[in-house]
Amino acid sequence: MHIMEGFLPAAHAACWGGVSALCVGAGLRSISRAVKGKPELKMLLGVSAAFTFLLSALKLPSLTGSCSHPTGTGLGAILFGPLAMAPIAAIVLLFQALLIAHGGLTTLGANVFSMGVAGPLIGYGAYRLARTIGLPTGLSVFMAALLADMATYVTTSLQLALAFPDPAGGFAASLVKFLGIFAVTQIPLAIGEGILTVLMYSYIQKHSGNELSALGFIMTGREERV
Amino acid sequence: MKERHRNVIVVASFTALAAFPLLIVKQAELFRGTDDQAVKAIQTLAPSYVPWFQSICSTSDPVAITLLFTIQGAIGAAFIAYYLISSRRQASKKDPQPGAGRAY
Repeated sequence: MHIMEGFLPAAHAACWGGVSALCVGAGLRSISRAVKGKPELKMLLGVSAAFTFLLSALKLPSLTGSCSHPTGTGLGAILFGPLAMAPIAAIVLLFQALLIAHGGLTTLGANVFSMGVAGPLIGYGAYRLARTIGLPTGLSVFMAALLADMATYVTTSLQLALAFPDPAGGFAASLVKFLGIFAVTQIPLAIGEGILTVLMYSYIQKHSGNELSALGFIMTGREERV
Repeated sequence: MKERHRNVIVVASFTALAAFPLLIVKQAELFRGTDDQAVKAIQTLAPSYVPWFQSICSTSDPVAITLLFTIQGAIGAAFIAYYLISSRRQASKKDPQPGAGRAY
């Protein structure tokens, strides 16, 4: 989902940069509120960041013959809320832009928005909805991680289609083209991310029940309930 | 289903999902990154567009990029491993095995 350095017009880059800067600021406040007076939550916050660090470093092949990265933002969005993932994604993407030439400084705002704002927001919404309608925890976590991943790549496609509409077919034709590159490739990877997130979440549920309670999850034994 | 069995199935599913494309897509050179494909699509949609900023990172060596991605993944994996080990230790302190008390 990295839009490469310089591959967004300056006005678009500035707009996404401004929006993402606001979201990163709100995310830092959200994290600060969550861990204030609850230092035991810092470990889970670290795990959420580490999960994003690990998964976004995996370059996996897909059935389309392309390869791409999972995002790992669904877990943190479930645990700490969607805003908390904006600063974490910003750190990961800055690391990749500065050291690996993946993404870039001018496209950092757009990339942070897709990976750290849109994806986690959709993932968190999916999780809350799934739990509200009574789906089991594992399936809810799976759906959240899968949709957070997919939403990230759909957002990247939208950003690029807005910046580079097709000369003949306009925005819609361009969107179809970018979705064909990003979203279709991402489907099996998003399923894989869902599987790994369920595994990690079930471990957290089993071993960090007190921390989940501190985050507002209602625990019955070792199971989390809405 | 026992938790250990479930975990093995989950990890096996993920591995199969990652390995399956390597088996069915025969041309290994096909596995190009989607980021590069997007750049090509932009160049098709807007041939006159010239990137207005160049990356300040000059690493283009694929080995160096792979190494840096590995370092990034290793940082994440190391912290998760630390969490897994420390949470297990804490759990075993809180809930010691029957008969595991100190012998005097």
